[in-house]
Amino acid sequence: MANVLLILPELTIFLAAILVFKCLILGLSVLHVWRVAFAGSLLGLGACLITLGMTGEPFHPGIYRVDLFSQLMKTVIAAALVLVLVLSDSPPVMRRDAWRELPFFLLLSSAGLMMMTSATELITLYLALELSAFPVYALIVLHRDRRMGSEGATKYMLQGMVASAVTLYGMSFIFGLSGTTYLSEIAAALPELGSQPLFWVGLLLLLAGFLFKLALFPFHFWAPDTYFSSPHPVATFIATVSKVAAIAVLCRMVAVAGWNEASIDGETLRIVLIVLAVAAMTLGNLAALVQKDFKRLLGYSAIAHAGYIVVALQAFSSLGHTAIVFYTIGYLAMTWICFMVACEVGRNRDTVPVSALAGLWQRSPMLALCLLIGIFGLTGLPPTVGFIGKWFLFSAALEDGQFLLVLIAALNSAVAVYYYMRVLRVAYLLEPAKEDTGILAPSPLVVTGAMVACLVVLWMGVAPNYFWEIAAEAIVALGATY
Amino acid sequence: MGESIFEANLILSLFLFTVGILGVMWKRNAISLFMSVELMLNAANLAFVTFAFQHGIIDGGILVLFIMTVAAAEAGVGLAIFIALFRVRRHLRVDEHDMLHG
Repeated sequence: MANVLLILPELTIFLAAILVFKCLILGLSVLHVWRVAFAGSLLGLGACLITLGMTGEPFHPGIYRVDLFSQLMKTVIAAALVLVLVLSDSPPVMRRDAWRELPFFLLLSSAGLMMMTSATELITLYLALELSAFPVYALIVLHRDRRMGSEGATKYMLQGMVASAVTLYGMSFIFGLSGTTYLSEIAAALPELGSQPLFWVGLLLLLAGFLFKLALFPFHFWAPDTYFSSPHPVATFIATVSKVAAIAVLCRMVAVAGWNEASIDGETLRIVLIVLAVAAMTLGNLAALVQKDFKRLLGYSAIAHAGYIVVALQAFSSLGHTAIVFYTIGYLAMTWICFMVACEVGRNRDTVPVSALAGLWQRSPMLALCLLIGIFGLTGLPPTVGFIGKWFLFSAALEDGQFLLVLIAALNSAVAVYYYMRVLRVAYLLEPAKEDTGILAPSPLVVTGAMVACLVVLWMGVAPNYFWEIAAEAIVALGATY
Repeated sequence: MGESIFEANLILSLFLFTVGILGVMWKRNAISLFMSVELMLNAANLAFVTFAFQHGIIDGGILVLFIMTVAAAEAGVGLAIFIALFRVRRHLRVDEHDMLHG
């Protein structure tokens, strides 16, 4: 019974997915299906909060670990899922004959993402990775514009498949050298394995699938295209929920590879991560400068943010990991706010060009204010979490003596100010185009969600202590495992 | 298993993986890309089985069963998406994506 309690969050989300599937078979209307899914995701969030303090291994020892780190990540995933479902009750720009199916795939993918945060064994990790990916491939095809949807899905799926094949090949190296698929045993054998270059090659290949989800260079090509060509709520899901799980797995793998005791070959892994981070930040920010589409711009901004996160990840320290967990929570809220605005503005548009935001201040002051907070956060301006979160990320790298890397990251943040401010200029200073002067009225639920997200962004920015302590405790729990 | 067969298997696996990677980089037809990815998966499968024999444990073999099942599901989702793509465009050349660029 205790074991069932440990996996309550995943179980709730899975059962909700099955229930939604049953509702789809029974032919219930969009609204009913959505209500069932929304209730299920709220229950899942509750289950996450209940299990937040629990520790244990519900299955065969070593396969699946429930601790504060995994449960915190699951709570964040469940909260983000609720927020995405808030935008999906009458999903914009989806095929009308198929939009009922959106909540089902979202729930299924979230269950896979939750499993990813707990998996401590290679087979489990791989299965969770694929379970979280397939539903999203299917969702992109459901775009109202069939041509855009199927092209976007093809690109995303092919790149995702290549990344997961590379991951598998890396796993085969690690399995071959260590003779086990359990992360705990790999960590125990590390002093011996760490001297073999092939182990680090394998680890780097293994990380590929997760770096892909995070959209880090050189696995970033999909991000702008996929954000652009997905239905808006699906793009929101890809940009928020799936990032959290990828970051969780990266933190766990780096924790396995050892903090502060990195061997000479571990240094090579660090150098590779540094190069990838610099490339991702520079490329993402420079390409974002010339973007005309809002979602595409957010895609390039996501690549740059993946770079900022790896800046702290390469420090291989508990401080860096805490900064990452902290920043992830804030990043999720900021990104959701920006996509929420894109959903509302793009309710009747297949794409959301930046020019569609013109006059947002007159069309809906509430949305304009949200956009201001979200964009300030992504830019990294105080008093939002973007500023303090980046401060933590960079100081983790500084503590490690990576002055040049932090300088490059700071210069990149300065470049980013230009394109973020351009968005705000369009939203606040330009007159709305003739065809879209109407007042935008988001539903009460969306307004509630936006208020919560804005509150999180500002609260974490003004008083980071509370969230920082939770993140630090979670990382202590993670570090105690290996 | 003899040492020479072990090494031969690993070299074959590396060869398959390389062919797969090159195919992914050079081929432009969605089905060819898909086949290249399958080659990469099979390279991983071969490596897993070889290592499992080498260590005398069964985990690698189990992993291969899972990978094959997932690959089958992948083919299901993938081919469905290709059919959707083919219906609107009448061809499957991925470099002629005129709507998405960059």
